[in-house]
Amino acid sequence: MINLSAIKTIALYEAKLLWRSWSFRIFSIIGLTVFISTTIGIGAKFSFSPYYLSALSSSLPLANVKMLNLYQGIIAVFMATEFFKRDRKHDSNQVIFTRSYSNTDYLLGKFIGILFVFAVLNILVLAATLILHVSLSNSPLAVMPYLIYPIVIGFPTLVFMIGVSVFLITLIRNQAVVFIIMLAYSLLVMIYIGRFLFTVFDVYALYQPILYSDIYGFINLPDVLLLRGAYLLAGLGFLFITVIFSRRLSQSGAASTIMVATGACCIAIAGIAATGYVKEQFDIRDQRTEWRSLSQTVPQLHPVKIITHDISVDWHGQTLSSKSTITAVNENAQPKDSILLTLNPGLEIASIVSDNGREIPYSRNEFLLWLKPTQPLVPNEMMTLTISYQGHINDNYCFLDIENSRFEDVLTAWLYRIPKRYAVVRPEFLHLTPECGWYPIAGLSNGTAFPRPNINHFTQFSLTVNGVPKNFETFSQGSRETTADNTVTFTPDTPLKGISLTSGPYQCDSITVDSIDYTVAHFPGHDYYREYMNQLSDTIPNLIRELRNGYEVQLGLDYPFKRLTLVESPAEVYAYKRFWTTAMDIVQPELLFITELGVFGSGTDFKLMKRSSTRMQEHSNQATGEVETQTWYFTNFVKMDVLGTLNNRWDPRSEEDIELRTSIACSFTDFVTQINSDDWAIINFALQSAIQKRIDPIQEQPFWMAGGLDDKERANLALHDAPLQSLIADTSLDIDTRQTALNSKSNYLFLFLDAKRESGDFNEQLNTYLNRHRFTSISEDEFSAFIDGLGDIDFKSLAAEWGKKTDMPGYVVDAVEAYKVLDGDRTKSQMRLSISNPTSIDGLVTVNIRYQQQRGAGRVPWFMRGQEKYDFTRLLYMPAKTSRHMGLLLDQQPAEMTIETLISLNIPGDLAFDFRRVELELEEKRRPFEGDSVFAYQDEQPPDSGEYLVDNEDAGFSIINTFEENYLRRKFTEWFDLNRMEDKYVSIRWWDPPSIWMPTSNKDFYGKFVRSAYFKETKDGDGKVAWEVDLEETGNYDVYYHYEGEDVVMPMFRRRGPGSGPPQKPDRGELHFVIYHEDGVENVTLDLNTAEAGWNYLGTYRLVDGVNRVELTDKNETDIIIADAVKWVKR
Amino acid sequence: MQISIRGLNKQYPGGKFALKDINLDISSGMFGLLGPNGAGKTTLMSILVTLLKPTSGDVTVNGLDLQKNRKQIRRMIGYLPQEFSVFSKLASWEFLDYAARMSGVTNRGKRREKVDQLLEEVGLFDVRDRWASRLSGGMKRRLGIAQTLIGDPHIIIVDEPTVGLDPEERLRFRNLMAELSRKDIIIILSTHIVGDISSTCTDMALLNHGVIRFNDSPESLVANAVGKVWRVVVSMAEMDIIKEKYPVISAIPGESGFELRVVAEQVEGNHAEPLEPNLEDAYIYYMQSLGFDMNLEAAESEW
Repeated sequence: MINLSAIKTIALYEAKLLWRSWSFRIFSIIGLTVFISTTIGIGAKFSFSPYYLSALSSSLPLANVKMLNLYQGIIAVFMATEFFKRDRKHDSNQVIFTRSYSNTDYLLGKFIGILFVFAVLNILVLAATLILHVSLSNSPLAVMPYLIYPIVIGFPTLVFMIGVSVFLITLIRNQAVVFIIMLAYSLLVMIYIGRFLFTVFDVYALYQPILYSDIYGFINLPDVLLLRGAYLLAGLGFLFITVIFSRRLSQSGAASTIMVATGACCIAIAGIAATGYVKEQFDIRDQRTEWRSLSQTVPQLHPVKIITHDISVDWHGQTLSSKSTITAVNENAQPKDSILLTLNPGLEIASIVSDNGREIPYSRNEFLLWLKPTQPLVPNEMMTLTISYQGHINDNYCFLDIENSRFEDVLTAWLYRIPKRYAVVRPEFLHLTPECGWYPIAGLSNGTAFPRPNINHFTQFSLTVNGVPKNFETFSQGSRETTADNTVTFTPDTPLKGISLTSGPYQCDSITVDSIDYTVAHFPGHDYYREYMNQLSDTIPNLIRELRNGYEVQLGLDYPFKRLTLVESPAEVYAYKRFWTTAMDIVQPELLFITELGVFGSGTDFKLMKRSSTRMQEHSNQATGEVETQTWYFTNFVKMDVLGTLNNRWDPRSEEDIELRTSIACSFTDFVTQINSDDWAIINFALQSAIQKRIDPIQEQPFWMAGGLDDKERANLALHDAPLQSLIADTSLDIDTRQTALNSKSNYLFLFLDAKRESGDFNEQLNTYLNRHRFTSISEDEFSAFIDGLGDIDFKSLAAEWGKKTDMPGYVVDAVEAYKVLDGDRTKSQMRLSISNPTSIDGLVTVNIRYQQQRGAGRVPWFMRGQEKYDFTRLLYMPAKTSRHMGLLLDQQPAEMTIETLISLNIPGDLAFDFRRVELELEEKRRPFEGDSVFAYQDEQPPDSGEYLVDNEDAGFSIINTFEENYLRRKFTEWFDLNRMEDKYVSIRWWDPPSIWMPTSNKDFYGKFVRSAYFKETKDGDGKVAWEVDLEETGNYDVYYHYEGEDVVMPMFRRRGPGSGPPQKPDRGELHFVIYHEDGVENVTLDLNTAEAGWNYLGTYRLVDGVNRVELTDKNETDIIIADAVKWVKR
Repeated sequence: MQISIRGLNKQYPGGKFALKDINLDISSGMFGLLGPNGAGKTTLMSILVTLLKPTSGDVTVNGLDLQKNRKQIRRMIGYLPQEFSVFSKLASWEFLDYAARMSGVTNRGKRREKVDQLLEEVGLFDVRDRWASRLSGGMKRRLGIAQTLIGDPHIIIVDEPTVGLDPEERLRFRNLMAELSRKDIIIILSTHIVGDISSTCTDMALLNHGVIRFNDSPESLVANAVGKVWRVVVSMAEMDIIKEKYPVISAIPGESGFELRVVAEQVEGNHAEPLEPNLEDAYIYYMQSLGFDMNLEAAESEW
């Protein structure tokens, strides 16, 4: 029925014709050029591209296949429609049509011909990529991605696009229309519908998580096959059905019927597969919702305390069978007749027996395991039992507290979409953390219990693992022993909150420094870092020692374990950062999991570090020794990815993916300290967070954002509206705001305790207490007693009030001066400032100073510069209605001073003063002043001074006329998340100002606590704002306008440092005011090029008592117009 | 070989008949289908080569129904369409190779031999590697003939094969056809140029407005016109009057005016000498007698 020879011939000649067509050749040449350039651009050792673009062995082929897929998908539509259109135009086809073969043969032949040519193109592109990969790139080579990606990604797309196009062209018979339809579909997929419904419409596999790992292939193979297979089948289906629309008279009715039937079947199966895929995702969502509700049905109870837990696990490829021997005690005052344990719902219980061999009755509901001992467990009674269980790990049970949107969000890095896995049980790799519930725990897990408080205890674990393949290395907590039959046992040195297990084909490098074993475990071939650290073998012990000591000093705590192993984890292994704990699942006691090849690390881009170091050496004309440079690579990596003390501000993901940032800080806090509280577990986190704050790098706004709110300010606004307690449970608030609110409050609580303790040793006392109470849970009463013992504090009521309080202080900072003075025979930098708290709420601020960086080699380039701790920080307690004059005498020249107002009404919350461009002058006559004086706050402006002021925050300010916001522009802004438009104050998009008046904030605007203004794009003067004042007396008034100065808009233009030529000042244009006065109206302009920052005189007018008005139009020669504040002063 | 057409109709959606009640029997040898442009020749050819479905009627080829046995019938056919164009990016030999494969010549060696032989026969061997788009009009047409012949077809159907060819190419084509017609195959030659038919056809049909007007040998068509063709010598002024009255086949300027070849029952008023009719005269006469006004200016230019 099918004539293979005819199909082959048609395919051969169609391929020849397509291959020889100029359009295809041009398309191929352009494609090859683009893809080769891109590959070089992202993958070559000498390129400046971020590391994560090319880090993985499958990055380069994946990027190329994805780009090619999009490109060829669209071109295939054109080619296929062109080819089928030709059938109608050319008589040459008629001579072929009259030959003896079926329409099915013809269609298949043509289709295969087109496909074949595209296959050749794919081979060319991938061969070029492979050659470049081998010759130019550092990323490890794996051949499988080069074979698999085109089949899984490119092939189904091509088949679908060709099939549908051919179907449409035979139906519609208009190439242009078909092309437009398919192009529109492609565009929609790209920008909009591709992400919908778990990427089911994503024909190009742009958004679908697909990553081929050289450790275990596709981790989500069923999903990949389901969706990609659906597209393949649908494409074939449409193609087959086209047979009945063929204009050529059929010669085999049976063949056509079979084709159409097959086509319909293909489409149906594709539909079922796609629907099945979507349904499965919805089922997961429903399942998680169900589990969440189930966990809430569990009454809040004190679980038993598990004292010892011996786990023996047999690893059988995709499944586990385990045995847990548990000794537990009832530490509650009441007897327990049922005991709650939880276990991953994928694991089935085989038996539960007590130490006397008797079966213990139990009931199981999903992850809940209720033991029903025959006799209730009386207070302080111990019980020992052995639970046998087996099965697989249900990954969806993990992170039940993480909302659906975040859970379903695919990990995205440029073109790469990486599926997320929290636990892996596969023959090639095993990864289990306490989060997945791979062994039974007492009570609920923290995530499952959230937002209710949960009780945690420390347990003495032991772990035996059977079934580990010969060449595998296994990691868990404690000392490791491996027997001859490859049974691995772990004995942790201390009790722990949980235990993890990871095993894979690892290769290890180890070193012992100061009795701690440091190990790096990587997958074979994943040791690219060696080439950047090959000179460090002698210095590394010292480096480690220095970094550790520095870190411990900063934290004030000692590293609690005997080992630290950096374990490479496949890119798919993921963990969420919870805002209510400092613990991260990718950090386990003694272990830090580094994502495959450090792809998401901030400090793993050694290639870029090397490039920039070379550049800087050339620039400064100073050679730096290799050891010094490599030391820099190493310390950068350790600070950014191990210790978490440094941010890479140029890392585009650091803002977005908070979970990708790793730090072992929780090893010092959550892993060793636990304060259990019945009422509100937040104290435990507050403590962790306050300690974490000791090492947290400073978050700065990206330099391209001017004004607007940062997380701290957003959190303050939220905390002003609602108390912390209700705020953190409010899921309508975004996670960053909740996290920041909690962090700010936590930090504030402990800063407050610090400030209250006059001897200044609060932190030392706290550190000593924490070091002493490691690996044992502390009750709330114990902790309160400790704090209360430090001084005049009632911690319990303080903490209770702390969670409910919404009142905030606000601060006014003025008289900031910096100059040089002579202190004896030494010249020092003198800083003076005055801070006032005019509100009736006591408060805290910190004054922070960063010194000028020394120029020269070894300096961190600006784009790699993170935000390390300030060089100088002073905490100030600011009682209500007080002012404080302060003098600081510094040995070094300051670069910037930042007053952090912490929890306050101030916007901006951080008041920064920049001295980088200022050469401080020596004032010989002034005396050095170190110290401060506190006195009662005096309002600067008495009520009857004849001065009236209307700011944009005041009732007298109004927007008279604004414009409609351009819908498309707004959508664009939203899609690409350019600005947080829902914020109360938005940042000034100076490259794209809005068409309506919008509020923004900046320290240079006028305002007591809230320094804000309105801004919009300039227009012809129709858009207006007005300041209205109710004057008490008629008379002559001087009118002033507050100009923010030139630093607010377009800071880019002013980024030149001293010595690099005069900065070019952009034209600031002029402001057009309309001033209403007794005799009428006057138009006044203020030339901003000559105006000073601050109050600028507009003129003197005779104004009658009552409401008077000043207007500002949106007319200006520049792009942005800003409206701030107006002042009337009676003469 | 025998093609039998019975009651064949082709009606277009607008209701217009392209072919109406066609009945023909075509046996081995060369069959000429003559008719003016728009007569329905191409429609009939398209139906015979299975490109078009008739509205009604039966066509059988050696007893096989054309509609039900397309597979077998397509194997027998070699077809050269009216406006034959080529795949521009295929070499001459490739195009023939494509056609050969499609007509079932699967053996590579045989195919190559056959392709070379046909290229030789149509005089294209020297340009076998030249892309078909770069061949001259005549060469393309010859390539078309070659592809028609490639599968050793039992039925060759050529539609207006000599249009646009120069006289030399046209002669070469006719000779080739004459050579082929000696085999036991049917050659259907559809044309509006009488000269294509006269030399070689054993049987013919006249098609006009979708209806067969005549179906017999060319000789019998000629016999009909005996005594109806005249030689008239006229002056320049008289010529226009004659042209208005009668179909004038040719006008040759002579010493005493123009020597005209006129088709008419009788030529009145002038001295007219009877001439021996040829197929063209006969065609004109026949069509005239059926009441069709022949556009002889156009025919003349193409002859």
